[in-house]
Amino acid sequence: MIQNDQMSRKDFFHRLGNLTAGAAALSLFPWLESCSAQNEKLSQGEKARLGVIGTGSRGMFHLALLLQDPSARIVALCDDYAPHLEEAAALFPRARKYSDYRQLLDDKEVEGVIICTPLSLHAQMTMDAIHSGKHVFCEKAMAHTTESLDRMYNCWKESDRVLMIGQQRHFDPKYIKAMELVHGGAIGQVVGIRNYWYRNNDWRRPVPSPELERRINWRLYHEYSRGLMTELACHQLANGSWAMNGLQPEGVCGTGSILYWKDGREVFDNVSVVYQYPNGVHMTFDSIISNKHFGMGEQILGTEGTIDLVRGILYYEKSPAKSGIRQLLEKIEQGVLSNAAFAGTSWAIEDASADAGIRFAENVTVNDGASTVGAAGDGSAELMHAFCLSVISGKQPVRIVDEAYWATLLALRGDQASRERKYLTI
Amino acid sequence: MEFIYSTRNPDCPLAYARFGGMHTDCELLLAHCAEQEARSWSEAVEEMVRTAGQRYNRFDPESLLSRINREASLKEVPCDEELFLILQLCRAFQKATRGWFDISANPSSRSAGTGSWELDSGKRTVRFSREDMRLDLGGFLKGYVLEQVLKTLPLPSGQALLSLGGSSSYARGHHPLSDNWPVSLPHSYYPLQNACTFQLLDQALSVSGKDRCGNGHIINPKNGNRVEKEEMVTVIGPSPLVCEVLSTALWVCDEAHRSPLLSDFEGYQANSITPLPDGSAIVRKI
Repeated sequence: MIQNDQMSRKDFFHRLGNLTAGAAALSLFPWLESCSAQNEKLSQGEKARLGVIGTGSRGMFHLALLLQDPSARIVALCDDYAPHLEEAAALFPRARKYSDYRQLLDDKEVEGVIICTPLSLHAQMTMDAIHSGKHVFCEKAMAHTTESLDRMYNCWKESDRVLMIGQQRHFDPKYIKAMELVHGGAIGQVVGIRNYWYRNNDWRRPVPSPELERRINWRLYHEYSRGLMTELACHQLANGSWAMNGLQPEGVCGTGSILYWKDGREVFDNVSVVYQYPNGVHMTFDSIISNKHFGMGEQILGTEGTIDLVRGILYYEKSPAKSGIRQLLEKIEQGVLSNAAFAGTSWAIEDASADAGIRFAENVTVNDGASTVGAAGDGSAELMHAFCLSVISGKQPVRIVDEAYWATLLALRGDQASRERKYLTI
Repeated sequence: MEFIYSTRNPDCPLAYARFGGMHTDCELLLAHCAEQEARSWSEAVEEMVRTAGQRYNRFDPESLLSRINREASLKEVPCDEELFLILQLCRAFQKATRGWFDISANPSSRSAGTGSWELDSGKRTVRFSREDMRLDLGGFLKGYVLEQVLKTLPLPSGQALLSLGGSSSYARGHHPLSDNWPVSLPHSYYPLQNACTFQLLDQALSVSGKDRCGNGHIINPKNGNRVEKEEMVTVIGPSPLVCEVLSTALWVCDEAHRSPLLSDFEGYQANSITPLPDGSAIVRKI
């Protein structure tokens, strides 16, 4: 069972690191308004009546979070694979059970649905849910093809329903604080964005019977998934949009192969993709799933510093280190009066000479990327809570679908570029 | 040791020394001091810092303090004169700060609070009452060493600025171009900007907070929890030792207890400083 604290706005903004009344964060990340005091107050005592479609590993991850969220009530569950449905029903015995998602969409008590199904089903299920009048939370990536992505986006745009996508970094306090530092100028001009995700496992789920292989291990087959790009890169590619203040890449090239896990899968087990922005900045994504040494990494590189997003650490190019008095010497030599800027707290034990960086977020949960389901403290609980509040209020969090749209588009174009080994415009 | 003697400003010859000690960088600046005098004095300070670091480093298994931490729960451990004096001082500060300063409150010790370690003045021994007790002089030692430097190594003529890792410093006299030493605290997130500036004149300055890598290395002796505030506390006053002890105690202690605690130490001023991600800082007088 995943352990998570119950969410409240107070906790959330405390974890954001005492940002000034949350105002700075709200201007950069307007979707956080969905956790505003007003929305919390309006929703007090109310519960979003939710149905979950897809109760496999990711669905169960969200259900475990919702079990602890006071704003959620699970009223319906759906899965066409009976063992998964029964596992979820054991957690929520009063929820109605369905094996066809259309039946769940006909359930009048359900206000919002959470879609945790294979990628190829996301777009159609989301559109059907919106047409049934439901608010929708859909796992990332949004869609399996660029065509279905556009249809899904337009369907939502023309509706008055709430849509949120499972890009949990949008609610992870350390990412939010990091982007505040980027836009505050802490690292100077952004000159590169590096993302990587390394694991050493076959990415398979156990299959009780051979005919279930493609249903259970859908991530490994083109018909259902775009592999590493849609399942992993999609999370990290959103960093580019944040760091570049909404600017999106104009092109992408890449390559990939099935190098090690030659077990009948169709998607690559290693990829390298490079995105180019109109201003010349490049963003990379590398993934290998037969070596886990470096785990997961996301870095924003600037002319004056580097932000390690995963660990919540800021490094300066020129270590400001301990030379304040040395600088003072030079000023006095020149006959200039200046402050001696050297005072501060202790250096870490045994680490005074190395640049250990500045940890900019407190109580950082470092996700090494090894889990194939989700990690505690990664923003998922906050994201789920925000969806509950939006279902209750009926208010769409600002800009969040556009962010998710771009993350998915970049993932899909990156996959296409690496399969075709071409430079593609976006 | 890096040593520079500069006469580039003919009105103000300067000596600068920098060396490692007590796991940090130590820096000295002397104005209007003869080269040989400055060099000899800097070497003496370095020796004093190195010796203290070796004797009282709880991470060095050969140090006196490590021996106490290993053996004092099993038997009374004899101390030499200086170490016993240090422990007596720590006990006195524990009482004077109403328990907010406690060298047994540290991440490797699960015991904290009065009575967990006992001193026998007659036999000059220390004994722990619990097996999981460990003593750590981290919030004491730099201030103590600076105090010892001032007392036992009379400063050469002229003005001087001494810093042990930036967290404990002392300014003798004034900046050659001013009537005090302006000393700034760089912003935690933007180290090239200053969060605030103090004017020191024959005064010490101590800064307490999470370490510069953001780790909470200080334990609240009242509840055993690691202190994780973004805030820093600065204390200015005549004694480097009192400044260090007091800044540690004030940083750890509850808001309500701060003013009464500070008022017990006449001649000391304290500030609370909270750096914000937008580059500003909230500075409040305690």
